[in-house]
Amino acid sequence: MDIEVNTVGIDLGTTYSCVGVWKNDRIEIISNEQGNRTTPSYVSFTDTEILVGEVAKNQVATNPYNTVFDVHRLIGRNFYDSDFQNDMKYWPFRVIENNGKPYVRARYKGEKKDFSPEEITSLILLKMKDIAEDFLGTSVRDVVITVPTYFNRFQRKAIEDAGLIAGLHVLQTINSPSAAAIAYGLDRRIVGLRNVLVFDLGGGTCSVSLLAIEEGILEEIAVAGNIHLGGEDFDNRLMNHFVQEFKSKFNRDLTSNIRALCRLREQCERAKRILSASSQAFIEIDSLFENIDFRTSITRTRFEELNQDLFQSIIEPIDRVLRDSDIYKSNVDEIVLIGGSTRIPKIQRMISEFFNGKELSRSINSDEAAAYGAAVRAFHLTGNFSEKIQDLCLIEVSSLSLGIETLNGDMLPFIKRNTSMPTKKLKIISTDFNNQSSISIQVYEGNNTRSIENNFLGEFELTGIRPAPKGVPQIAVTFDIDLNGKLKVSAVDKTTGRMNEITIIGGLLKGEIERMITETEKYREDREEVMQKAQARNALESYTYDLRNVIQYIENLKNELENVAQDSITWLDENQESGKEEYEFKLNSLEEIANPILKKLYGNYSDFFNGT
Amino acid sequence: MNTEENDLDLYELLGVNYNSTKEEIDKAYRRKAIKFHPDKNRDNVEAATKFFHQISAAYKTLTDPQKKLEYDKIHKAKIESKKRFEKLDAKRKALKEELEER
Repeated sequence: MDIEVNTVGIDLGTTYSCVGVWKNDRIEIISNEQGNRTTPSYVSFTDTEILVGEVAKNQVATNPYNTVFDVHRLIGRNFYDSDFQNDMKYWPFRVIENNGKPYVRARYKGEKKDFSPEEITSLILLKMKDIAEDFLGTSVRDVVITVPTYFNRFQRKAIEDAGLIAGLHVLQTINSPSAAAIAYGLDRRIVGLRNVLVFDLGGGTCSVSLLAIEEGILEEIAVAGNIHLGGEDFDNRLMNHFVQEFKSKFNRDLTSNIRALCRLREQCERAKRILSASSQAFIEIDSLFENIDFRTSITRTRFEELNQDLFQSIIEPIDRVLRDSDIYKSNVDEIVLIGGSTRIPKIQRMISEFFNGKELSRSINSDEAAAYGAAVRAFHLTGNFSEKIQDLCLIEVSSLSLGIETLNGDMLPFIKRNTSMPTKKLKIISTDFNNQSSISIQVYEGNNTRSIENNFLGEFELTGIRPAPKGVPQIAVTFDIDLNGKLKVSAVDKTTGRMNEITIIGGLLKGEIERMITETEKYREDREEVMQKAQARNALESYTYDLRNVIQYIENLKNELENVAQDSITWLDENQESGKEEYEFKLNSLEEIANPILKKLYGNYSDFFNGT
Repeated sequence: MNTEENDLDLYELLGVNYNSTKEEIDKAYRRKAIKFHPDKNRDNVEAATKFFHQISAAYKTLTDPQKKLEYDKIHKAKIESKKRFEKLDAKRKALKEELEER
């Protein structure tokens, strides 16, 4: 049966992204134009166009100020957040503040322009969409996108907005380890109930899910994570190390030269990868800084030492899911590792040791599993049928607690983290002062006990409370999360029946999204224009060179003719008195040589102009 | 908890009883949760969500010792009154039958 496939799963990563599709009753992970199955999450702005993926990553050293990466660390964030301010120090590109949100300022087509993180993300999603469409030959619309477990509502919404800007309909955002678990469960036809812990350590984030898997049913028991821990941080440690080494060796400070830093970063990433397989890696960068060639090496042990505290911090989220789920280490049946950074031997060792030497499951492709699972989920959600996924069901939990702020600034949780969704929770609250006539409900999300350290989602007021001593009025506050994760908070005054409510939406305004859609279309047109220009130039160029080749060919034939004619003249000079037969024989042989050449000379040369 | 939920028999809802262990309740909840989770019932999300809320609440109550104790009190009282009603009913029926026989 021929079905039009237009749903894909995208594993959107801090450093790399991957796209998969359900085709012919199985998942295909799709290669990009360079033949690679993962694509760098890089966007580079040039004087003529926007580059995304491999080509953009190659621009880092030559176009450092206008090449953007790590957008996962910008999206849905607050510019003034201290963690965020710290991140900014490592980026060669410029980040500015716009309404409290970080924007990237880049030079595009000779002009300064500000891009929201949603726009940058949409360009990456567009790239993944293009890769899929090239492969499928049809247009792609519906998509499931993976997110780190500890992304908050605004970050998840921002990803959905980015999808919209890219012309995609985001069916769902799912936690990346849970996506991988779908792939894992589908591949193995798990028998009986198994507790599976999926640990995802990628370029920028660490995510952990503990799931109970039975047949096709996956139930998230608990999730945890660290949105700021991954391969990039290990690269940064290596970079600092080499900057120091350079300083002590040559008494020069590299950090003043962005280009040098970018080149060093590239080599650090490379060295880190090598150290997962070898015990030592060499670094050689010609004229890195003030014409100094930098040649050095690093051992695996030293690398592990430099990152010791970071490596140590991967245990925290694992420990947390176990504590939150009341499941003993020994009751975890499988441990599945995904994400590029789980190739680091020390990390594998630490996790195995934490589980008392338990063997880790290595049968899954750590780079592709999340995209694989997301593609399965996308196929399933669009109502497609396959025997393999007939029983698929994903029960998700809310990864962060939800609650309201109390008078003293504490967070009063309504829905605790790791509660299965959908869920509904009601609590009775009251006034803090005598004769208080209105009450403000401020909704927060996060696992900290102080609300100020959590994410503020929104607020509303319930007015018209009848005068009464404090603590007497009864206000019923309800938190309601539906299947799609949408949160509604309502408050009802039990005495008067007055009510008010808020639906937490967040994200960009409709107008902003529309503007960005228009602009993204403009970028596409720019790109199209550049491509057409390049194509036209290529066509002219290749015709010109073909022409040159034809001339050369004709030249060669003429030379050949010239030679035989010259030979014949020489013979005539030398043989003034020959017989009739001899002259006739000579003429015949001359014709035999010359005619084919003449035929070629006056033939057509279409063979030369292949393709034009 | 609203009145509607007060009328539900949480034990009946999950298919367990007073003496069920935590593990038995866990298992029973899981079985129901999986079957009635709205993700499994996408053609009837609203009804499934409502039912899922009920079983989640029941599970929370029955696995929290303090809440279970409170609920059990109410539950036992309800059962008693129900039994009384039934007895009364039976008497009435018997009386009625007696009357009809005459």
